[in-house]
Amino acid sequence: MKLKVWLSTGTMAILAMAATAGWAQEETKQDPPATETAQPADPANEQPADQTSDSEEKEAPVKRNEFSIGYTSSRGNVNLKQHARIPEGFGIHNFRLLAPGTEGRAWAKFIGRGFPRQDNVLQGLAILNNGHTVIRGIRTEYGFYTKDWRTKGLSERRDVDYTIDQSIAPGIGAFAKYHSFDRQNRYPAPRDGDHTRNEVLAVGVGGKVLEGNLNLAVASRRTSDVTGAQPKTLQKQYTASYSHDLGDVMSLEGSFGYARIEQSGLASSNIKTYALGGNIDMGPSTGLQFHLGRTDYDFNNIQNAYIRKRLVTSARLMHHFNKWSVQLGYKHQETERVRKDHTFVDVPKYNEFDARLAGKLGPARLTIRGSYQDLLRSAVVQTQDTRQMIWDDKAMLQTKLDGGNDKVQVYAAHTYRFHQNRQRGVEMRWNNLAFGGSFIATPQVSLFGEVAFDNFKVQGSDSGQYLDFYFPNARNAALGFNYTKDATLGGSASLNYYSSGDVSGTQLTLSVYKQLGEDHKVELLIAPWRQTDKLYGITGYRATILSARYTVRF
Amino acid sequence: MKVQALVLIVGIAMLSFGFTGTAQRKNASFAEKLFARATADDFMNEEACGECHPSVVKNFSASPHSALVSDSKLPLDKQGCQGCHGPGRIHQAEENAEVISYTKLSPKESSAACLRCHEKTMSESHWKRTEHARADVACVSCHQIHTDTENGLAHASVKSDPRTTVLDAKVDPKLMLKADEATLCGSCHPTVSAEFRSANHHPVPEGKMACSDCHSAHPSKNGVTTQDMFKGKCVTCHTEKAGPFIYEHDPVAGFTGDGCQECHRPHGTNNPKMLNSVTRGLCAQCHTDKLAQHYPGQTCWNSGCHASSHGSNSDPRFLKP
Repeated sequence: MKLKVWLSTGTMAILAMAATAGWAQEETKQDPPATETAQPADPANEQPADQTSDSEEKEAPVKRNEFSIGYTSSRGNVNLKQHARIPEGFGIHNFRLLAPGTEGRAWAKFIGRGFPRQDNVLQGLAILNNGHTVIRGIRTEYGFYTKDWRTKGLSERRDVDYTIDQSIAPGIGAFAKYHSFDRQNRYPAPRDGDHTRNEVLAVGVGGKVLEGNLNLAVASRRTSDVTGAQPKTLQKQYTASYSHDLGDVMSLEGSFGYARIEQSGLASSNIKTYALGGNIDMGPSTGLQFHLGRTDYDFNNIQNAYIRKRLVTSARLMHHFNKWSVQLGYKHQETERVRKDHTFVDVPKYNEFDARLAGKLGPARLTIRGSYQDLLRSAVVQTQDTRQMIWDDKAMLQTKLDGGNDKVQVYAAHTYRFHQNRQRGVEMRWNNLAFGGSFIATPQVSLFGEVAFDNFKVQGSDSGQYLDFYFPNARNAALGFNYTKDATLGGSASLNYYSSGDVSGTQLTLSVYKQLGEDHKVELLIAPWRQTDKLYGITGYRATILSARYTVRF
Repeated sequence: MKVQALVLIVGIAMLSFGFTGTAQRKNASFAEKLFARATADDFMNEEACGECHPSVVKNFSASPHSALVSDSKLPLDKQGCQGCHGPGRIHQAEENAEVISYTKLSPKESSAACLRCHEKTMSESHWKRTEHARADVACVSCHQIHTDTENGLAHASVKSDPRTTVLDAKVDPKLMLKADEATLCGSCHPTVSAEFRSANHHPVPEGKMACSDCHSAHPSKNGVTTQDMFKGKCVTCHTEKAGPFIYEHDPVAGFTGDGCQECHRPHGTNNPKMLNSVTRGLCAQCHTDKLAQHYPGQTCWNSGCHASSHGSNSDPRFLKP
């Protein structure tokens, strides 16, 4: 309990440390934060970092801190909020404070978004002790509504995550991590909701030891089901790995892991993993990688089929030539599967082959990759219909071409997947085609577009073409337009469209911003979003989101 | 299996030998070679860097990296600008001038330079075994060390997702990434971005999740916290489905097949619950005999029957939790 109290105040502690460090304002030119990439590149600003104009010689106070406040209205039913809650009413959209850590003080950053209510984030980062100690903290809270054919209550998730990284010797570091999350899902009756409280605590150390690299970690993962439907579960994990370069051409890594899963009212389960992997440099442009892995499962509670051992062997040959690279991979997997009635152990075996070719074709990059998995030996299933349920063959072939220049970037990708179960006569063919691109027409105008198609062809001998009915084809498209008149005025429009089976939706988002002086900015947004569902009309929505935001830098 | 056991034993023996064996690196990276030939006199006062690169130097303090290289107790080859870019006097030399330029070095050389200091996170051999390294991605392809330089994502940033502008409560990019992960990763994985535009998806565009919550771009010290040894990544969030259950559903547990992905497409689909297909067709991929005869027309789980299809502690047919 004390730990929880301590941790719940951790975010504030980071803020306090940052405040102690001082939100120093340096006498330098103003630059946007690196992560703010929403605006198109302005070639006018694309001067090399080491060229300085006369105006830059006049040092202006840097303003790295930011505060945004605004009002949002979203008119629509809860189906609009199937992934997150759209903000409602007045709120703090964003505040960002940065202490750059000059003069030996701590470097710190603190960010808050979405307050005072609904979905929100608090995030802090402090670098202390000349960089030897790094503390990160994130607290998030969000809600959503499961979209289905009946109205439900709000599902919620709250996360608290703290990590401390500490250098303990040259080349050696340690970490401690605490993560707790509360996850509550509400579903339509008759399905019961679930509500779990989870805590993860982990510590570890890693770095250079005896000319190799050693990593040790211990983690405990605790889950409590508030509804009482599931037993309390505690999983303790111990992992160790050591890698070492053997001469100049080979490196090896061995690892071991052990997990013990304790469940209330049930016997404990144990898992042990052993792995050996490595690289062999066969020349300046050729390499071989390999991996051997074994996992032993000791499940004392499972009363139907389970596996008790898994062995994986894989190797990959890589070669670079000119501007091309080729990879050939092979993987063999065997499992010891205990049958449902625990009378016999089958050993299903798989072989998997894969290849990848990638390289330059003028200004474009071509990537072709494919894989084929072959079931060598199946397992006996003890269901009413005893024909095997494992795919005999799985194949994938993907071709991707992308490239362009400073003005135009385009891509096209086609993916073909094939799954087959011969005994049950099931064949699934899935083609995915996606292409799109972006075009910076002028320094003021940029455009993008993207289209994707999913096409399924599924058949089974039991049902003829009937199975195909359940695999609807899908189409997604996106179009966008950005306009930047100058540093003070700009806008954007984007349209997202999706359609599959009975469901289709359009999300149009229009926004405009105006810079008021150097440090003030106003943004307006209007977003009419629609979704229709021909089968269950109640899952659809019609909403218009309106938002106005004011941002100040200081 | 015997062969594998033998290889394992030989490998462990070789690793053990590694404890005592000497490992001389002949193929040292460009950065290693540059620092190896530098003397203390080749390092100059950091302020000198600002004479030619004033903008970068002045704004460097806004980068978390500035705090990591500012310790005067660090060796010269790990301090400040020169800790990453090499000794200043060699850079300024009239003959054989050299500098570690992360945008000009090959991805392999560039990443090797970063790993000089990031060995606490991973070794070079760890990095080599990642998909990203194999695809010639460098550390600086994703991470931005200077906050005031072009991040190389102009086209990616053009493709703004409408949902990102409507919602505020998004987690800021971590670990000096160039952009939020949906934008950054999507710049190389556009087909995945397209999947996230579907009607049902994990809330990545909304900023409630990041790509790295599920995917490991490279090894990390605390990766153990996001990996369940039994069922992998998904159940570290969906803990109610972690089990082990008294009655496990074979594909869900990953005993045969690909686990959760046998039924779900985690990036997104237009089908409910990010499923590969709709209603009973999903189950009928394997249970073909149930499609037409077993309560036709109903959805296997929503109709109140197999409501615990992810596993049950009380019912072998997954009718109850």
